[in-house]
Order: sequence, then C-alpha cells, then structure tokens
Amino acid sequence: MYILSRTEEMLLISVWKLQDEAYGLSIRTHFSELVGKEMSVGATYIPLERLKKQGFLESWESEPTEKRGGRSKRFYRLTAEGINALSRVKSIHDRAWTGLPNLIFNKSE
Amino acid sequence: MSIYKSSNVIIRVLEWLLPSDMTHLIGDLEEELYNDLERYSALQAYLLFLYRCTVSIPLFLYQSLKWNVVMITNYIKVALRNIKKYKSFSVINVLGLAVSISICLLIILFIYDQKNYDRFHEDKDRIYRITSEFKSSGNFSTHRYATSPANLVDILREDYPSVETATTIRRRIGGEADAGGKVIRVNGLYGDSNFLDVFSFDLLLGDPESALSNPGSIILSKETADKFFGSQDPIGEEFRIIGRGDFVITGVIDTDVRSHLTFDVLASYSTLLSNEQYRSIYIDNWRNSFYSSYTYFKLKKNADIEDLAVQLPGLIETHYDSTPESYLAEFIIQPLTKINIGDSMDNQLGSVMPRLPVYFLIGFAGIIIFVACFNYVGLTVARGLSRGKEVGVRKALGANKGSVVGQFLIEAILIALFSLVFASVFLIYLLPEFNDLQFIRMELTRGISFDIVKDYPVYISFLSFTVIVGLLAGLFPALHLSSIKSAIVLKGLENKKGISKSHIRKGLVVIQFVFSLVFIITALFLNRQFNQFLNAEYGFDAEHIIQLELQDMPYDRVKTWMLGNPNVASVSGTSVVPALNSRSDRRISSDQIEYDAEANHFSVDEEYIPNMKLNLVAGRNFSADLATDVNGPFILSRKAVADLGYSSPQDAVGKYVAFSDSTYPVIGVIEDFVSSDITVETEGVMMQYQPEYIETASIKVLPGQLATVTNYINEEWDDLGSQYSARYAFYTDQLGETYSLLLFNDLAQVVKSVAFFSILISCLGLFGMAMFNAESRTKEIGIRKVMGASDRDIVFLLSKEYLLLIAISIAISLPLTYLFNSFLLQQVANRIELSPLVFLAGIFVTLVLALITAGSQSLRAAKANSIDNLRFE
Repeated sequence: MYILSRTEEMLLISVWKLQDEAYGLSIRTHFSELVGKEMSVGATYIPLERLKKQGFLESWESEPTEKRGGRSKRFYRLTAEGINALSRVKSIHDRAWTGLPNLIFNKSE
Repeated sequence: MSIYKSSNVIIRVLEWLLPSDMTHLIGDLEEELYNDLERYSALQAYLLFLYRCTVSIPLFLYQSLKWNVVMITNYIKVALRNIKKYKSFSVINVLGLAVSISICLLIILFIYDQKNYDRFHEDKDRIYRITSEFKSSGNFSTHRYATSPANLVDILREDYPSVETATTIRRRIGGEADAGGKVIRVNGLYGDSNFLDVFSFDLLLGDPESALSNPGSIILSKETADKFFGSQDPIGEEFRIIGRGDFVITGVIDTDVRSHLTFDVLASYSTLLSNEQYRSIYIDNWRNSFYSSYTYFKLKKNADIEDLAVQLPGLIETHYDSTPESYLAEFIIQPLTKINIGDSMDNQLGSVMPRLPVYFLIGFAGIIIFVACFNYVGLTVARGLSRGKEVGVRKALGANKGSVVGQFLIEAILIALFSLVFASVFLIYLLPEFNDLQFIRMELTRGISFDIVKDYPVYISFLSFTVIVGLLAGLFPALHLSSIKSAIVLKGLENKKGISKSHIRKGLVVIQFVFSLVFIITALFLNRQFNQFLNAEYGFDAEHIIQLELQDMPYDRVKTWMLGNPNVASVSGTSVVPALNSRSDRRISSDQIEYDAEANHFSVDEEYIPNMKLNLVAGRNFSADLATDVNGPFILSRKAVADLGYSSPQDAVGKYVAFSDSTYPVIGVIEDFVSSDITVETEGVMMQYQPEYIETASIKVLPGQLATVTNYINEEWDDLGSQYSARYAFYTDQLGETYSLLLFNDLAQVVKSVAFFSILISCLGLFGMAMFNAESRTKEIGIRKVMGASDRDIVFLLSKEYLLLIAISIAISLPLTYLFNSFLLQQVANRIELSPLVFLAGIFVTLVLALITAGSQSLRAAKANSIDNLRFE
C-alpha cells in the first residue's frame, strides 16, 4: 500500500481545506502556513503534479483573469482515491498517537 | 514603474523557458507580485518576486530538462544503433554529405574571410569612402567609379562640421626602387598626413604625426623594409623610385592585416602637391582629378551620415557644369566595411571581390548540398519499411508524432556531424586548389589564409551550418516516417508502396541526374570554348613576335639596336599591344551617323601593319616619307568603317572623320582584328602614325631564333642606358594569359568541379538505392533463378528501372542544358557551335557511370547463391 509522504499529505490537506479555492498560489500559501516556512513554487508544484499523476488529485484550468497577466489558474480537487488516501493517513496518525504521553506537557516543563 | 517593467522581462524569460502547460505558474507568480505591491513598497514587492523566482527556477528547469535529456540521450542511442546497423547506407550518406559540406565550408570560409576585410580599423563604423557615378549621354549608361575628385577632401574637412577627419589617397606610385643597394619592383599609394588618423594601420617605426607630412617622405611596409634593409633600421635612409624621384624613409608600417588597401610603399601626398605643374593639371582641375584619387573620411561620433549625404549633390552643381557628353551624376557614400565584398566599380583600389562571383559560388554550393540532401532523403525513405516497424512500435507504446520526428531529425543531424569531421579533412585539400583560382589570385592577391581558421566564429558557423544541413536532409523523412499509422505497419505492411514512397525517391534521382548532366555538358562546352579562344583567329600573326616595352628609351634607338641583330626580321612599334585586354577606346564621328562611334586607338609606325600581317583592304599604309602622315590621317578597320556609316572600305577612303576637336582624312582600311579582348565582339580600330607615342616595340624574329634574341636583349639592354631593367614577353604566351581568358578558365574550372561532385554524389545515391532494391528483392531473385532465369535476365530486370530514370533525366536536361549554354555562350564572342556530339559525350559519360554503379549491385544480387536467398529471413 502506498503511504503518502509528509509533503504530499500536507498538500492534500491544503487542497481539501481550500475546497473550491484550491489553485497554485492559494495552495502554496496555505501549505507554507502549515509547515511554517515559505515553500518555493517548484517545491509545491512538482509534488502536486505527481499526486495528480498518481490519481489522488485532478485539476482544471480557470478562465484567464486580468490580475494574472491574462493567464489562467490551475485548480486542484481531491479524487475519491485522494480522499481515501488522506483518510487512511489520518487513521494511521490517530492510531499511532493514541495512548502516548502528552508531548506538549513535557516540552513546557 | 520601471520595477514592474523589469519583472516583465523575467516573466518573458520564464514564458520562454517553461512548457506551455505550465504558464499558470507564471500567473501565480504574477498574482503574488500584484498582492505584494498592495501590501509593501514596490521595491520590497519586487525583491520578494525576484527571490521567489530564483528559488523556483532551478526546480522548474531541472524538471523540464531532465526528461528532455533522457529523451535526447535515448534518441542518440537509437540513432547510433541505426547508423551502425545499416553501415553501407550510413557510409554513403556520410560521404556524400561530407563532400558537399566541405565545399560549403570552403565558401563559408571564403565569405567570412572577405567580410573580415577592414574590420581592424578602430572606428570602422564611422569611416566612409566617397565614390562617383557618371552618366554618358549617348547610350545613357552609367559608370560607377571608386574614385572621386582630388580636392573633395579639402571641402569635406573645411565645410562639413560633421566630418571628424578626412584623407585622400592617390594611386599609382611604383616601379623599380633602388635602395639599400638593391633594386626591386614596388607598388604603392600616395597618402596625406591624415592617413593614420582615419585608418588604424600600425606604424611600427617613425612618428605618426609627421611621417607623411613633408614632400619626399615615404613609409615602407614591414615586408618591403625587410627586403631592402633586412634587420637594419631604415628610418632616414634614402629610397629612390626610378622615374619618380628620391624619397626619405620616415616610417615602417604593418600591412599584414586584411584591408582592401594594399601597398608596398606609401608616399606623402604633399610630394604631388609640391609639383606645381602636376598639381594644376591633375589635382586642382575638377574635370581631370577624379580618375586616381580616393576620398575617405571619418564621421564625428553621433553625427548622422544621412545629413551629410543630402548635402553632397550641391557640390557637383558648384564645381561641374553638366555637359551633354559625360557628366558626374552623383556622389555615393560607401561605408568602409562594405567595400569588400562590394559593388563592382571602375578604378577600384586594391583588392576587392565583386558580389557576382560570390553569388555564383553560393549558388553552386547550394546545388551540391541539395544533391547530397536528396541522397539522404531517398535512402532514408527507402528504408522506411524496416524503420516503419520501429515507428509503429514506438507509437503503439505511446510516442507522439513530435517525438518520432525528433528521433529522425536527431539521426540526420548526427549523420551530418559525422560528415563534418570528414568534410574538415577534405577542406584541407580543397583550400589550396581554391586559392589557385585566378580570380582569387588576381582580385585578392592573397586568397583565404589559414589564419582565420583560428577564429572561433568560423567554427560556430561551421557547426550551425552542419546542423541546418542535417535538419534540411532529415525534415522530409522525419515528417513522412512519423506519419506512418502504427496499426497499418504492425498488422502486416500492406501499404508498402506508400511507406517507401518510391515515386518521390525516383523523382529525387531524376533531379540529381538532371543537375549532373547539365553541369557535365556545360563543363564540356566551356572547355571547348576555352580551346576555341586559344586557337581563334586574331586577325594578325603573333608567331615569332617579342613585345619589348620601351620604358624610358626612345623608339628609334631601340629599333636600330634590335635591327642590328641578324636574327631579327623586322621591328614595328605601337602604343597599345592588341588583344591583351587594354582598352583605348575613343569617340569618333562622321557626317553619316547621328551619335558618336567608338574605336580603339593605336599609335603606330609605318612598319606595324606589314609586321603584324594585318590585311590592308583599301587605300594605303602610312608612309615615313610623307611628313603629312605624322599625327594626321587615319587607317580604320572594317568594323570602324561600318560603325561610321560608310557602305564599303573603298567608300571610306578619302573621307574626313571627326576626332577630338578636329577632322582627319581616312587613307586606308584594314581587315578587322582582335584589338582588345578575344572574348568580346569585334571592336572598331583607328590607327594614327605617331612614332612619339609608341610604348612597345613588336619585334619579329626569324623562326627558331626566339632564345638567341632574348639573350641579345638581356645582355645588351643595359648598354642602351635605360634606368630600368628590360621588360619583354613572347606575344603568343601573353595572348594565352590575358585576364579575360584566365577568368573564363576559372569559370570552366568551377563548373567542372561542380559537375564532378554532383555526379559523384548522385552516383553514390544511385549505388545505395540499387543496393537497397537488390536487398529487398532477394527472395524474388532467388525464386526467379530457381525457375531458370539467367544472371543476365536478373541484371537487366534490376537495372532497367534505373535506365528509365536516367532516360527521363536526359530528356529533361537536354533542353535545359541547351538553353543554359546558349545563354552562357551568348556572353562571349568567337562562340563555338553547340555541337550535338558534346551532348552525346555528356550523356555517354553519365550513362556509363550510372550503369556501373547500379549494375554492380544488380550483378552482385544476380550472382548470389539462390539457396541462400531463399533461406533469407
């Protein structure tokens, strides 16, 4: 079974979160906020396209807008497979984290 | 908003770099910049944008390049496999392309070299020359001269503030120079004190400010200085040019540069100005002064040449009153760097290659490269059957048309690059041959040097040219083979004909052979025409004649001296030696004609007509006994008589002919003879009895005594008291080496090489085609032989297709060749007939070569063991 990488996971989460507003720039902004550092265009775009190729995402181009120098946006959306993969990751996480001592408590000490 | 603009540049670059399906990313970047602009200052936003681009671009590039590299490596790998697998085809293609590429490299080298002339001058883009255009009223023809009036330079300097500096050059100083204890011939120019301000020649010794200032100063080229003085310092030494005077050497200059200005010595222009008489006739007189003076000037920085150009016509009006005869129509400004390769002009200075021969060479090279590309196209398409399978599989596995096209183009380029390697080797052998051509030697005096091979742009142009050839050759096969439908090929090759495109291949073979035939037959005709010139009737007897230049000796003295030798039959004198391309045409007129006629003028003595065996058809010869004959009456040629409108030679005798400002009676008429050029139509001739204008003694020697007489001249010339050494030549030798004949011979040589290479390449292609054909019919041949066909039947079967193609080529090329040659030969006089025998000879040569190449492969196929044939596959 294919396990998503952390980047891929974060990207899928971003797309899921943004729903109808998930296109290149907004995904990257959200993704950067999630990981806490500015991600480059390449670092976002390449895994996005990979996810698309693997069938977790699908994309379409919007009508061109003036603000973008007449260029279109590429919107992404999770496929059923993508949603599956994401929920699978979440369940793995949940399983892995249940019953562990509280990290935050320890750290604040 | 300049920041926004520069971000635009980056966006353009990205657009260019990224594949089209990634443009939305640029949109993202732009949108973010837009957002940032609202939030931060413009500079900050721009810096952020820049930062984002710099961190993103490497990843993009990596992504887009990685797959391209993988694909291209794969293409190259497959291409190399294919080249290896079909060795014979590859060899044929590489050889054919190598030969043609080497010819093109030669032409590229030649043009590059020529274009490099005068590029070393510092301000080359601001230096110009003024040339003059003349119109003559009679036939409204225009003549363009590289020269301009001598005093134009002063006007430029004084009246035109946009001119930074200007210099004048006057040609014709030279002859035998006596210095450092040696006597050597030199050629040179006069230059004024601004010469070194305009041009960037390197003065090795001497003071650039004063070297050309004073009368009697002279600068030697490094080479000349070495010849006369070796390693000694020549500055301040005396330098005597016999007949021109004594000079003092004030400098040594480096002339080992590529410039249209070529000279051994450069004398100060003030030397000419200091001669009052010369100055008033040849320099200050605006009518006389433009035949030998050249005006160069340097424009000020930021000045516009157009502003200057519009002011020049006014000059002509002030200094010339235009007369109906011949007048200066226009001054034309010519940029220094456009002089070579440039417009062809009269009175050209130094070595300048005119455009026409260059275009010819490019045309010939183009034909050869096309013939070679046809080979590649034909052979590659022929292999379409086997390659078709490959394409089918590729496509079935998901290759799109573009990648298949790429694959075939890469293969073609690889073949072309292989050819380049061989072509470079051929080039080393071709270069000396090319430099040996007369027009290269005469017009350039230097030819292509190996030096420029050090220049890297040459290599870049070689490489890019080769890649273009590869693309050219590969384009059609690539488009054709990539359009193969994989289903059809993989199912079972029912559409064989369509894939191997046999009619296109045949068409290519036909075109190749048409070219070859046209050039072979033309080469044969040109060769015959050349021989025709050599053996043509000149209308005079050149046998046993020595032409001796008088130089500073009086004619009478030389005549008596020569007649003192018992082996000399007779001696006559003339101002111009006929048929050696020196033209001396003057205008003459009669009451019979409206416009002036032209005739070549000869000043002769009374012996000239009998001595040269010219035929007097009416009237009488000049007589030494009649004082009135001197400087007076004319003897005309038959053509001149006709041009003047007289009905017959007898009719003309006794009539008066207008010449210069006077009229002269005609006392005799001679048969036409070649007066200036064997390759042009007969020109009219006029002779006057003017012993004082004689420049050459034509000495008739008893048969078999040429050597004894030349010995006599060599031994005794010095005793006559001339300052010069003896200059003489055998007339028959001179006639065979005239400029026009040598040029014609060059044309013949070039066409011959084109014919040779085009038939060679065509036969290579035919060879490949025949080999392919025999291979693809192996089974058929096997079965035929088993069923009882003889070897001869098989050879005939396989060859007849090619015979048909050659027959079609012959049918097409015959009318073409006829038209082409009639046109070519129309340009010369003393034409040969377009004899059918020559056509037959050309056809025969082509047929034999084609039969040998195609037949050899057919024979090999026929001789093969039929059992092996049938086991095949």
